[in-house]
Amino acid sequence: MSFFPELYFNVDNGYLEGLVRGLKAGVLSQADYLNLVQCETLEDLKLHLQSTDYGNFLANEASPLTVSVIDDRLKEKMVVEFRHMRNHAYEPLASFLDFITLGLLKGSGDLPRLGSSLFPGYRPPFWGPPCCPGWACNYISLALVKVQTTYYSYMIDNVILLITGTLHQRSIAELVPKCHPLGSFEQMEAVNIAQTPAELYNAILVDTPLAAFFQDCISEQDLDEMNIEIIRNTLYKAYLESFYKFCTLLGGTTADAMCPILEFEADRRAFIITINSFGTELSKEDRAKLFPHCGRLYPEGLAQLARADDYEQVKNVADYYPEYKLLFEGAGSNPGDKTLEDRFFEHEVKLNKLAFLNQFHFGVFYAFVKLKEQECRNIVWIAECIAQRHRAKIDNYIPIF
Amino acid sequence: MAAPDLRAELDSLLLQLLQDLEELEAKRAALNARVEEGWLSLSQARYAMGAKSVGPLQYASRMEPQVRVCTSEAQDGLQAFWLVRPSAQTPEEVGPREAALRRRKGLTRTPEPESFPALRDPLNWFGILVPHSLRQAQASFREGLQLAADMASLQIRIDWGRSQLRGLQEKLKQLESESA
Repeated sequence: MSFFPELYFNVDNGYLEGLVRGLKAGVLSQADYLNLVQCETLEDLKLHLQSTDYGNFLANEASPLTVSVIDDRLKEKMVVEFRHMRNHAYEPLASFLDFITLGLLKGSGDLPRLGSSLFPGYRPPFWGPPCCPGWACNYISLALVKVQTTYYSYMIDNVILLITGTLHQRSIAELVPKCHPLGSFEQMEAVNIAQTPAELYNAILVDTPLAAFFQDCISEQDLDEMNIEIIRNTLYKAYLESFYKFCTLLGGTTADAMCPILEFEADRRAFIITINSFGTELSKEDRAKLFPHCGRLYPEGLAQLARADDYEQVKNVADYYPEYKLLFEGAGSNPGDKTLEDRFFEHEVKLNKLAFLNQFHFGVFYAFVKLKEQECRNIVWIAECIAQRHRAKIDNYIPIF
Repeated sequence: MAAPDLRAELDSLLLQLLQDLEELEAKRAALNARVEEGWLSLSQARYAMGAKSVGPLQYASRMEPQVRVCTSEAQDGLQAFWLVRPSAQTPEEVGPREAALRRRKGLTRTPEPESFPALRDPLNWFGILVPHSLRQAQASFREGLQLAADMASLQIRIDWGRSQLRGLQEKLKQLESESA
């Protein structure tokens, strides 16, 4: 399949590419946003969204409508569309789509929401504050959930049941009968003994494909916010680097479309981590360990970022790279300026739109997911401005098409 | 007391009352502005971090307050409200009322004289690497807290001033009816 891949692409993936392009046509346009911005209440917003591709997705919601409910329903719609595509995908598209959802789960805070929509019947277990050991268990267990939904779904069900049971101090004799017989595994008894995520990893996760991502993260430390932050970012770094490697292995137009996007993502993570770490207790060495290496900043830029002490030094590092220099120039923290994160989001949208210019590659799926995410962010921002009656910054959304 | 003295006192009391009212209005407007800013910054943080990363999932239902409101009696019998951060707390504070930092009220507790453990910054509920907008939100809400305590003290003074005013007016009426 190394010559003329375009000739063979449609055999396995033609339907899905057609589908994703059709869905892309339903992404809100600038005219739609202009309508939404003029709404006075959230009910108005719901009415205007009915005339778009979203249709009556809020029809069954109890009034009064809240922004959080709107956000949930928007995400659900996107997940349903994605799920449909994933179910019809052959390899290697199926693995590619799995990589995208892994990122969705890890990168955002939507773990419980996505968990319950990707895995019907799943209820998030005890969600304590981040300092509670149960938090990381839930994080891990949900990541487990996504990776092995079909084959090990019963096993995961049981693991989650045992974990939550242990957190609520239930005895294993009480829990084991409630486990699904199809999902029993030898280490099931060991889950109860695992008091910390470290033990959980050593007992169970080490046999799963997720183990590779966890190897450097979980150790026998206490889980305080610092370590959880480090775990979260290390997981994301591992995920991004393996996704990048996967795309380069796929080669062809997919690599041409995806690699710039992932390189930008890596560099953006490096910048944001550096800037947000000023004034915190994160040491420079720890900070350097969180930078993904698959971007254009590696290795010199990352080394300089690791040494940076303030925003000016970060800006100087960015000045060596033309597009990043442009992004930093447009950003500022005065009231009228765009923030740096806004500029990064804008650039991301630009890169993702470019993916649709080429045909017969998988980048369109990634770009579609990211653009829908941005659209969701836009609508939620507009809804928040309407709900808080603070319309000064309502135009801060990023128009996509 | 002679009527002119009474009237002079009435005037000064009225002026003081009006001044307090003006200050209260100004503080109220400032508090509204701070709270609005704070909520908008929270929305901006949600935009940058993801809508579910800044929400009720990040904090426990039981939390330690960072700031306590204490009342004290001034020399003219008026109560004043003070914000006290536990690191600067002196053991003899009596009757503290808890002010939860921009969240729902925590449990009421009797004051404990033992030293508090190092209080964790609520900002860290959302992670260590939080965006600038979240820090701005925290700053806005903190300023708003101080304003709220000042407003409470002012309102007590205004109420007291009004009751004094009424009392003086009655006395004046009595005096006038007696002299007539």
